[in-house]
Parts: sequence; C-alpha cells; structure tokens
Amino acid sequence: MVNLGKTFLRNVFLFLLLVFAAFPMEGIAANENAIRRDIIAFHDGSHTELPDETQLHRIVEFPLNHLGLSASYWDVADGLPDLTTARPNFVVSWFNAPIGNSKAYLDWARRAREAGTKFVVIGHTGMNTENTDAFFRLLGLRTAGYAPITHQSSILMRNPDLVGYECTPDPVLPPYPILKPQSTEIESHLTVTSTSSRLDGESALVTTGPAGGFIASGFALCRVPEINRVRWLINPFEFFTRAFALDLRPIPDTTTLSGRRIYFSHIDGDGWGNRSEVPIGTTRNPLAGRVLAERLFKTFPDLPVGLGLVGGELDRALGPVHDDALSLAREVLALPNVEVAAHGYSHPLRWAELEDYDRDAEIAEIDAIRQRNAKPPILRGLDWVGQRLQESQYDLVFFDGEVPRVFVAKPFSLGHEITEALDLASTLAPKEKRAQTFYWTGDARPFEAAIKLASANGVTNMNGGDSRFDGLFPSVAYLSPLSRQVGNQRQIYSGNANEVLFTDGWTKDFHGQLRMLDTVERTGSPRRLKPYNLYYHTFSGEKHASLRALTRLHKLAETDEFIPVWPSRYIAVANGFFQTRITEIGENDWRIENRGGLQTLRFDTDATLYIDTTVSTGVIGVRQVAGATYITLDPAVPVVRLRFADAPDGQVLLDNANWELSKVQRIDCGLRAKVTGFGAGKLAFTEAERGPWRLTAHRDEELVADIVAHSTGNGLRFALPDNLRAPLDITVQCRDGDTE
Amino acid sequence: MTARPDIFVFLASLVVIPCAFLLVPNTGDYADLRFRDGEVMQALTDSLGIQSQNSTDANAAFLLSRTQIYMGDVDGASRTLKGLVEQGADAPLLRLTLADLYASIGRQADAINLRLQVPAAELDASTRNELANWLRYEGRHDEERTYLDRLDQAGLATSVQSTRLAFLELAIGESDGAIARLNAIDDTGELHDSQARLTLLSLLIEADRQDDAQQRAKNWQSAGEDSSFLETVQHIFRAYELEYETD
Repeated sequence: MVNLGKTFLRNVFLFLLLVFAAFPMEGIAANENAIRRDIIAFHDGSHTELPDETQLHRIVEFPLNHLGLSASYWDVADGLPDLTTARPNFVVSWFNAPIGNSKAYLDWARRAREAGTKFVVIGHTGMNTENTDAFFRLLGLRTAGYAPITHQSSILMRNPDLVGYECTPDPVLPPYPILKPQSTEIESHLTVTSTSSRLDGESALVTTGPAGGFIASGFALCRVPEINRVRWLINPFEFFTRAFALDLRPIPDTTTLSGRRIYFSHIDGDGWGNRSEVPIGTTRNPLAGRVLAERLFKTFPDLPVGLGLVGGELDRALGPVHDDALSLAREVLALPNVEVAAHGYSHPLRWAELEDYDRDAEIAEIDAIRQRNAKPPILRGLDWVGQRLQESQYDLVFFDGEVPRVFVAKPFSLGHEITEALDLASTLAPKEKRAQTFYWTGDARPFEAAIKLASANGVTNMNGGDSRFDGLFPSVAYLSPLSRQVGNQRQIYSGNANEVLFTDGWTKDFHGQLRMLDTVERTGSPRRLKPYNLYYHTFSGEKHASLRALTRLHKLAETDEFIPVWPSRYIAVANGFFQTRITEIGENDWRIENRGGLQTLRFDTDATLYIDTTVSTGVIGVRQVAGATYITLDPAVPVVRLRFADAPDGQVLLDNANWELSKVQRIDCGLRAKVTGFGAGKLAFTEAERGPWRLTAHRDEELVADIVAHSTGNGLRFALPDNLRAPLDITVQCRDGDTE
Repeated sequence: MTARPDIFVFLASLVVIPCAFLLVPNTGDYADLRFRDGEVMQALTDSLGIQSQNSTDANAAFLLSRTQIYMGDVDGASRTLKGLVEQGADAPLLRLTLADLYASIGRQADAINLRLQVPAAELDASTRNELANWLRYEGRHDEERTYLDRLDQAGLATSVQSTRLAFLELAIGESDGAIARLNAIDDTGELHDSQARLTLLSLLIEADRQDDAQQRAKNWQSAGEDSSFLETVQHIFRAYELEYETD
C-alpha cells in the first residue's frame, strides 16, 4: 500500500511536471511547438541508492543541465510512471545490474518508444538475461554474444567528435557485449573488433539513432578506482545532443548576465570568532571575521559577498562568544557590498540524521563521547587553558563530528535551525537589510521539510554540489548539476567547491583554494560551463596562506570577464532555469516566459546570429563568446519574443557589461535603460554604426555623466567614471554629424 | 684552599665550553626555531638574509620555502625548491616536497614527473601505487608500463600492479612475457582478478598449454570460484573446442 501510494503521488508529480514542461502558461497555438526540457532519470533504489548518490546525478546531470534539460529522478523499484497521463520526452538510465522488474520496464519502454520517447542507456540496460535482447532491439541493436576477455580486441573505429573527450580508451579494454546495428540509421561512434575467430567480429559500443543512444559498460568514462578518479571518454555534450536530437535552440543559461560570466561570492560563517594569525594594525591576533572585513570586504568594495553567520557562534546560550563577535557582525553586515544570509543555528553536519530527531538519544550519545574521551583532571585543565588562549570557541562544542550537529546545548528543531538563524542575521543587519538566503551547513543534504521551511521564510537556499575542475580533478565529471531535487523542493547547489575541499578538510595546504584559478579557467573556456563562485568559510581569515589565496581570487574577479552579482541573484537565475518555458512559434522565432531571474539564453553555435529587433521584444543584447551566442533579455519584460534575422538591422545591442540593464527603450539611433550593479560601469555595445556615440547618465534626473566614445566597427565601449555607481538611468545615442 | 677544585673547574670547562658552543644555535637554527615558534615573518626575514649571503645553503633554502608556503607565497616557494633541486640537492624529500606543493596547486603533471625521479624504493607503497595509477589516469601508458616494470624488477610490485603490467604487455603484443607474468602471479595464489584469470586461460590454450590451463582452472574452482565464473571458464574451453574437465 505504501509503495502504491508513493507511486501514485510520484505519478501525479510527474504528470504535473510534464504537463507544465509541455504547455506554457498562455497555451500553445496549433502551429507552435513547446520545447520540452524534461528528462526522467531512472535509478534503482533497491540498491539503496538515493537519487543524489547516483552516477546520473553526480556525473550525468551537469551536462544535461548545460544542454538545457531538467532531470527528475524516478526509482524503478517503486514502479514506473503512468504513460497514460503524460509521456516523457527523454529518459536516461545508468544501472549497474538487472533491476527487479525488468520485464515491466521493458514493456514500459516499448510503449514509451512507440509514443516517441528517446532513451539514453549508459552501462547495464537493467534487463535480466531473458529480456536483454528485446531491450537492445528497442535501441536498434542486435546482441551477438559477449567478449569476457579482450586481449585480442582492438578499436576499429572511433568518432573523435564523440569518443576520446577527456581521455582515450585504455589499452586494456573492459569486457564488452557484441552488438550489431540493425539499420543504417544507427550510427556507431566506437566500434571494437576482435581477431579471435571465436568472437562474432565487430561490436558497436557507443551508438546513437532514432531511439536515442547507448554507451556500453566501461565506455562512458575512463575510470581509475585506485585513485578514485574518472574522466569522460565520451563527449557528453555532443553525445546527448545527438542522442536526443537537440536542434539549435535557445538554452536557458545560468552562467551569464549582460553577456558576462557571473561572479558571486558567499561565506559560511564558521569560525567567525576564531583568532587569526594575520595581524590587523596593532592587533596581533584579531578575529578571523575582522581580517576578512579589513582585507577583503573593505579592500574589494566593488565585489559583493554574501555572509551567512552561524547562530550558535553568536549566541552565548549555546557556547562562549567573543565580546567583539556581535559588534563585528553588525559592522560587517552594514557594509554596502555584504548581503545578509544565515548558515544555521546549531550547524547540522549530517542533515539526514536530524530528520527524525530524538533529543534523549542525542544526549546519550554526547554523554558516551564525553566518557570515552574523558581525560585526567590535569589534562582537562590544560585543555581548558589552551582553549582559552586559542579563543576558538568552535572547538569547545565540536564533538569531532560524532554528533550530527555542532552546537548541542539546545534541542534541534527546524524552526530554531532555520527561522531563528535567519531572524538573528536580520536582527544584526541594518533595518533596510534582511536575510536573503539560507546556506546549508555540513553535508549540505537537507531533507524536504528543511528546504520547505527555508522557502516559507521567503528566502532562497544554496550550498552543496562541490564543483571543481582542476589539475587534481581534471574532468567535467566533477562539475555538479544546478540543483538537488528533494521531493517537491529544490536545493540550489553552490557554483564551486569551498576551501575545505582544497585543504584536505582544512588541515593542510591552506593556500589550496588557489586551485580555483584552474577551475575558473577550465569552466570558462572552451565552453562557459559554470559561473565563478568564490565560496569559503570565515576561518579562511585565520591563515596568511588562505588569505593570500583569497586576495588573488578576488583580483581575478575584478577583471572584465565577469559581472559581479549578489549570491541571491545567482540563485534566482538558477531557479529560473527550471521554470523557464520556451515555445517555438515559427522558424528562428521563440516565445520565452516564466523565466524568473534568468536573463540569458544561449545558442550553442559560433555562427553569427542577428536579432530581428523589429519583431523581438525584451531582447537587449547578443554576444558571441566561448563558442556560443549569448542573448541578453530585459528583466522588465516578462514574456520575451526572440526572432533572428538574416542580416543586422542596425539597432544597437548590448555586447557585455558589468552592470545589468533593464527597462530598455529603443530611441532614435540608440537606447535608454536603467542600470544596476557593482563597481564602475563598463558597457560595450554591438551593431553600433561607426562614428561618435554619447552616453549620458542620470541619477534622480540629475545629469551625472556625459561621455562620448567612438564606434570603430569592432564595437562601442563606454567606461564610466570610477566614482560613479549604479543605479542610474542611461541613454546611449549616436551623434549624427558629430565630428568630434 | 687546594688546587683540586680548580682542576675540576678546568676539566669541567673543557667539556662545558665546547658543548655550549655546540648548543648555541647558528643563524639558520635561529630562523628554524622562530618558524617553529610561530614567528614566521621573522623566520622569513632571517632565511632570506641567509640566502642572500649564501645561496647554496640548502637548509636555509628549505626553511625559506616552508615560510613561503606558510605565508601563501606558493610561487616563491616553488622557485626556492626548484632552485634547490636544480642545484643538485637531490634528496628525495626535497623532490617530494616540491611535488606535493605542485599537487596542492593543481600542477599534477609536474608533481608526477618529480615523483618519477625519486627512486621507487624511497617511496612508500601507497605513493608508488598512486603514482602508477596517476600515470594510467593521465593516459601515459608507456610510462606506466615502464614504471610498473621498474617496480617489478625491484621486487616492489604488488600482484595487482604485476597483473596490470601483464595486461599492458599484452596490449603491445608481448604475450609470452604476459603469460609468464600471469603464471607467476597465479603460482603465488595472488591472481584474483577474474578477467586476468580468463585471459590467462585463453593465452595458455592458444599457446597449446591446455593441461596447464585445465590445472589452473581446477585450482580456482577448488578455491571456491563462483558458478558464473566457472560457466565462463567452460564457455572459453568450448570456444576453443575443448572440454573443461571438472573433477
């Protein structure tokens, strides 16, 4: 009964998801085509895998997101989706073994295929021996045996566009099935042959065709388990594009605003009151928070940062609090470039263990730990003195992670953990500021009710994911998807990993976050895969090495590649990805709606695309960068129409800026807009006819800047005075006949 | 007053004074002590001073690199350590320290190259294994084979590493060597990988050593191999038109 009920609810949820994905709010005309972005990711919960533990989530979902697809996880052990209510457009699976109900899954797949669903099958099909042949036939393949030993096998053909992306096949091929394409429509991208007369010749191990695509076990990744590393053997972007026949289309993009790559930074406030080894002025060992305030927040005033303080570190009822910690918090939260957030109250370390919280059990566990770790009185005295000298109150209450949260003086409750933490942060901030975001603590795997409560408090939520792509983790496989779906709730992952992962749990190599330089470079080119998220903890202010690394990373953020935004702004972009609806209303003509904070569409082409400004509405910019074309939308226009033309129509468009433009109005030979953002404005326009152009800026109708720049045919660039800050109203207009 | 106490004092001074001289730290030791005592800036200044007077003072340079790392100047520390290596100071610790530093900033290829320069016997088993597998991960298969061969010849290769070496030899057509290697591993009872066992069977059959193949398969069976593996064994024998004779 329980399973039936769960399946029913999931079917209802999936139905709603697919219906909303298929039909935009305003309905679809007969000649319109809603672009489906939903994909079901099947996993087998009978092997105790939670969705976020699957390879699909950890490795596959990121490239799917990048291609604009939004995954919903479905546990095949709970039954299968009801095809009579809604048909999924795409399905992906990556099983490791036969699933329990393989015949039912085969029947379901047959019906879904007949209705047009495309499948990508990675690794095991999930079928038992009896149904394997039939399942492969669905994919357009015929089985002809199995090669358990491969020393006589070699690669006959490899399509370099799809196979050999981050590594080449190992000289020792894994065992493989012998598969024959059933028609010329099935394209093999990796064909292996054997010189053994006992094997049936060639085998197609990576294929695409009308039904979708297949990657044989051991041929998706180069995997070296001894060092716990993988790399993509397959180019996931090209493979999924071909397998799902994803034509050139607008992709909601979460990396870019105003044509520039998003930069945002956020801090988990752990160690706010810890002593630092970095002197500030005459203070030899200031608080770590003070070091960050002086050396980062105030030194880089044009770079916004979100600060999520830990309630327990500021509440004397839970542990010792340094006298200056509260006043410092007030001072820092009042800084104009600091956004208010919360990072828990008792700071959960393992959220799942708190879902069914039992205070008595927790106390018993703490008592057991205390007894186990009991020391002679003299040593306890020395410990006490040492802790006073160190003034690291965090250590006083941190039971080495043995208890699933840090501050245990009060019982756990979601209201205390989330609502009160947000309230405390808002209380410490100036009146005009409120907490905007809850940053998940510990393992950052909150349960559904926790996310729901954060949303009910009117704030966004973020953390988890741990994306990195550097010399030690040199693969797209280490980039996390945008989010983690938990029931009906969504947790947005941070854009990058924090320093804990670069410093072996903050135990060594305190400069380690410098590896972010590598990550930022690799995720910026040749594809723009991720924003630049500088994410760290307050305790990074304790060390010279970490502070120096952070300083260097801040300087990188000041370069012209980036647009600095609040963390909550990025979260709005990421949430917008999932709700955006795109409808094809004609050739090279789309309607985009319900996109929330998302303001960029991407076309994966380096061909020049021209905006038809006579028909398009809400389209304010176009930029070609990193092998793609980025279209900037006007936040003030809820329903956008985007149509391309065969040639430029002479209207000036935004190329890139470190500010966001909105309420853009076309005027004779130019435009007017409201601008917001950080730092001194730098705006570049395209399609501006050659000659002098003028930018005037007003604040409250007072002229505050009047600048002339020349369009050379390679663009038009304005740099506003260093002392001039947004928000402003700007007008950009050509100056006919001006010979200046 | 007698002269005896004076003699004692004199004799004692013969011991104490040289000891005192020996115990008084030199400038480098002072810098090291300061570093250990948390006076990092002073240690940095001291070690820079020593370096400027004597650029070949390896101890001072090493201390300088430690202070640079502590202060987050990884570029400076890299230069300091690299300079030491290039001066010919070839202590494995130095190379490994530089390798670790490179790895910590993501220069993994440089870290691997440095570790390869360290004699295998100077590395612990875990580091050797990691190094071999990083070569594999980086697709540097010729170097991986060479390194595993070095380990094997030095008697340092594990059975898993030797098995991998055999497969890499097979991949370049050295089947005789691979058979000998896999046989040797199996003789010690360490050939556990099922693909390796099946490959050895196939190689033995193809080399007309069916009896040897039969015997090894029987040994595995008696050691408790599961039924699906034995089915595959039978399948392989049948593929060569042979019968696997179970007891």
